[in-house]
Amino acid sequence: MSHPLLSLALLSLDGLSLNYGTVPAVRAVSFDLHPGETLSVVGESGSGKSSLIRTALGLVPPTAGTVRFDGREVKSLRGREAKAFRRDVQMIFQDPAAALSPRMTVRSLLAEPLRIHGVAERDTWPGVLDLLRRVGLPESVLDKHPHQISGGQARRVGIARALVLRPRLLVADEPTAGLDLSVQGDIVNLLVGLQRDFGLTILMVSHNLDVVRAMSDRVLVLYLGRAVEVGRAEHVLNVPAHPYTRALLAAVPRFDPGNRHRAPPLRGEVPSPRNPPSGCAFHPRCPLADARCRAEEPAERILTDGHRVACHHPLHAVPAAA
Amino acid sequence: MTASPQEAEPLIAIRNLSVSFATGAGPANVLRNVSLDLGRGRVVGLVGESGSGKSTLASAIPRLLPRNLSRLEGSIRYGGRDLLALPDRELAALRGTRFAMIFQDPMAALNPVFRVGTQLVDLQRAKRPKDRRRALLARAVAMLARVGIPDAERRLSDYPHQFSGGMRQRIMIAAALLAEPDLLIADEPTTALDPTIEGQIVALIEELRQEYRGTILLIAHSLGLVSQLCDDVVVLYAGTLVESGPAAAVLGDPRHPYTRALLACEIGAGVIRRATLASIPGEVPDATRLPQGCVFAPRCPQAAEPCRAAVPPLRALGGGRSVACALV
Amino acid sequence: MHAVLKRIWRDPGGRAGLLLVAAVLLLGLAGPWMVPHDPNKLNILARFGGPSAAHWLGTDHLGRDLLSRLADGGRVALLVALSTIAVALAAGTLLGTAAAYAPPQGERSILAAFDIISAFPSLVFALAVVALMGPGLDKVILIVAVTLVPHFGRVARAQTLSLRNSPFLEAERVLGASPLRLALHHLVPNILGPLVVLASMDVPVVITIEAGLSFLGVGVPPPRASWGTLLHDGYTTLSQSPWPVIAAGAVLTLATLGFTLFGEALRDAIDPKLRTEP
Repeated sequence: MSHPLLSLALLSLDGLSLNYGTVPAVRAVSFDLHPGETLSVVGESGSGKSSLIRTALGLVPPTAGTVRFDGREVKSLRGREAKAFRRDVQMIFQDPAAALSPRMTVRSLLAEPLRIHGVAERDTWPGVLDLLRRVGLPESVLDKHPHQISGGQARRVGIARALVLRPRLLVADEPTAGLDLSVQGDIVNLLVGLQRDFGLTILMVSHNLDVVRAMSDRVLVLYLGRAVEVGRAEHVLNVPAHPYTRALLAAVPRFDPGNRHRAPPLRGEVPSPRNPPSGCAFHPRCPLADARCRAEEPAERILTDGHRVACHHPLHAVPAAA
Repeated sequence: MTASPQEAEPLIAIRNLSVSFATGAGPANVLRNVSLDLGRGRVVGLVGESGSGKSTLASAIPRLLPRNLSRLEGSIRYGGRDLLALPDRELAALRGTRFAMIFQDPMAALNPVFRVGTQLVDLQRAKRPKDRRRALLARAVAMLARVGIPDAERRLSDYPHQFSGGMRQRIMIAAALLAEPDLLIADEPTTALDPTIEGQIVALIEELRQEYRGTILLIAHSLGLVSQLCDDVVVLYAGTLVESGPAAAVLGDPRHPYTRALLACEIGAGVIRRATLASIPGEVPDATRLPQGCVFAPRCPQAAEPCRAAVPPLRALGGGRSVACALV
Repeated sequence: MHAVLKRIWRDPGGRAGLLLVAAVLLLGLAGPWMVPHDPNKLNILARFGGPSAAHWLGTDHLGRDLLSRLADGGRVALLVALSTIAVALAAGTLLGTAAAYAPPQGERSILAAFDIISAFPSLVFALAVVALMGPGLDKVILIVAVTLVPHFGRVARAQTLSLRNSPFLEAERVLGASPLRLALHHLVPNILGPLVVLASMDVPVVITIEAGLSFLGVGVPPPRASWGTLLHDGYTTLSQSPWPVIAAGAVLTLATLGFTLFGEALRDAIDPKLRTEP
């Protein structure tokens, strides 16, 4: 892992906010994603995860703040530069079958990115076929339509399609959602392998903390549109500093035969972003909340080594041991 | 914990259950010769990949099977009767009174055009035909409060869509428990929920089972959930019961190669970043074209000649455990 | 395409519709080369002739061969129906998808235009246009097309709205597809099914409107044959011979029935919600 300070960030979000009308979906999120790194965004529904990645992908313009890719502001990209950005940044979708144009065959779905970007198909097609084998698909799927292949195969087609243009940044939205446990590991291995072979940088969204743990260098925890904790995966997931992160980790039923863990569940539900709580947005559900949390929104503080937390009462203030 | 369900008379005894459906590609043999007991007061976890037949097994008990059913053999004994031989009318009377179901999507079970209070009263009618509406409403309020719906009395007049997903799942559980069923079938009740809400529902089920003495059949995707909630585990693969027994024993010391392979896929908190994760190569066979012999043989790392020759029978191992593998 | 035709053929109504549509197409397209006489050739001596070996369906009040005139009228009916629907389908799809993607104000204007057109009785509209501009085939096509645009526009808008946020369109955007490519390669092919069904159900409507206008003398100008003018001429001379009315009425009825049955079967064959897998 290269040192973050020495390398230029590939993707850089600075004070990024997104409102839908007057409802805030993302509030002042900042992070840098360095080449070759995997950063995972975790949080529950309504946390603003998909809004965050849609803004990072330039699909919706931010309300405030900037998204920079390779040093350039995405919002201001035009013409040839905008096209190059669309080539460099690809995405794999949560519902892989729904993300494949229903009337096309797998063959034309794989050729489509080449056609859009005017890449000569004759020269690149052998590479596409290699990619198809690499993601574990037989050539017999080429003439099938999306509804004729299984969910696992659609997921692999989606991955191959995202890589046809050899992007630099891959955005993975819940890449293992809905998969059986028996193939989940296979997909994680595939993504990790592809990352190594293609030098990919990955921005992932997942609610599966085990998958996040297996893939990520860094983790960002989102709650009601705000980054409440960011840091290296081993810090955030093993010694969380925010009470919400701790609750999220404790909520996953642990596989531990013979031993029952009864972590006190987090009370209440994610509040509506239309009507966010005063002070710290997490205070109505937080076991540590006091008068200050209700009144004052906590500023982000730095613990160590890029581990940041927005909490008045972090679970530990001392630098976490790596 | 280690009490085997065989020691006392089980609530439900399933013997040699086979279910097939007619499809365009011929008969799909979704369940083959499944035998198992659901012990009284036990929480039984049903584990398997998609296509294992676990949902079909759960809906075969109240006989809620799709219309393209082409074969239904074996027996499901409950209270001295065979449910598969029972006339439709008698079976319908058991549904919602003796058997209750909760689903992954509670909206599928709650009627969107009726107030929650009305629905909770109506479903108690079968068992309490003479009670006053007010008394039934009071029971509904008490049960909603019990499952953690704040301000339960006022919310009786709300419609299902006015509740969040987690709240709807709580209402489903309240509805199921109001019927005081002998068997509660829960089909992936937390799959669609966020983790903190899932944690709340798991804690609720944990709590309720102290009071509710019925049997719970839990279909689950997550091995974590099964290991935390279940007394017994049943592992299905391609319509075949491959292993069953007390949860701690089966999950702690799996004997069937499939159970072992599946447990190895659990990632767990100790995973090292970018380490190669386990998976099971290949795919679950198509129910219309099941292999000869052991159904798991094509994907089994230990498969030998006898595995491909004949279907291994389910054998008791003692301690309430059973395994269907020629090599154990 | 083959599978759709197969499904239509399996449905008894669809089969009847398909056969009738094929017969009308044959009559209209190949008719002029098959029929024995020039449809406009007068033969006053042979007027009001009943069916005979020379004139299978008899002759009209000017002694013209009825079968030849029916075939010619079928050609007109098909020409009007197909070109009208093609124009309405194209304009409706364009306006409907535009409405779905337009900002609220644009969407409201388009929908208001649809409402105004549908609120206007098409026959009155047609009479007004003809009064101003005189009769003619092109005017018939234009009038009927305009009245049908809202029909297609509303369905196109509803279909587009339901697809607008679907992941596959977003996936294409992420790949860098241009709006035009999105529309032509991904949106339109997926909303076309219901529109084609609607189009086939509208064919009999247009055929009857054309016949109606021609019957009133504001449609296809004579001497060109139209089922409407044939009916009209037949009525005025009904006392001399019933054959023109019977022949023209039967053809009109069979044609509309055929297209309706075909359209219904096509809808059932295309719409997966109505389809029951074996």
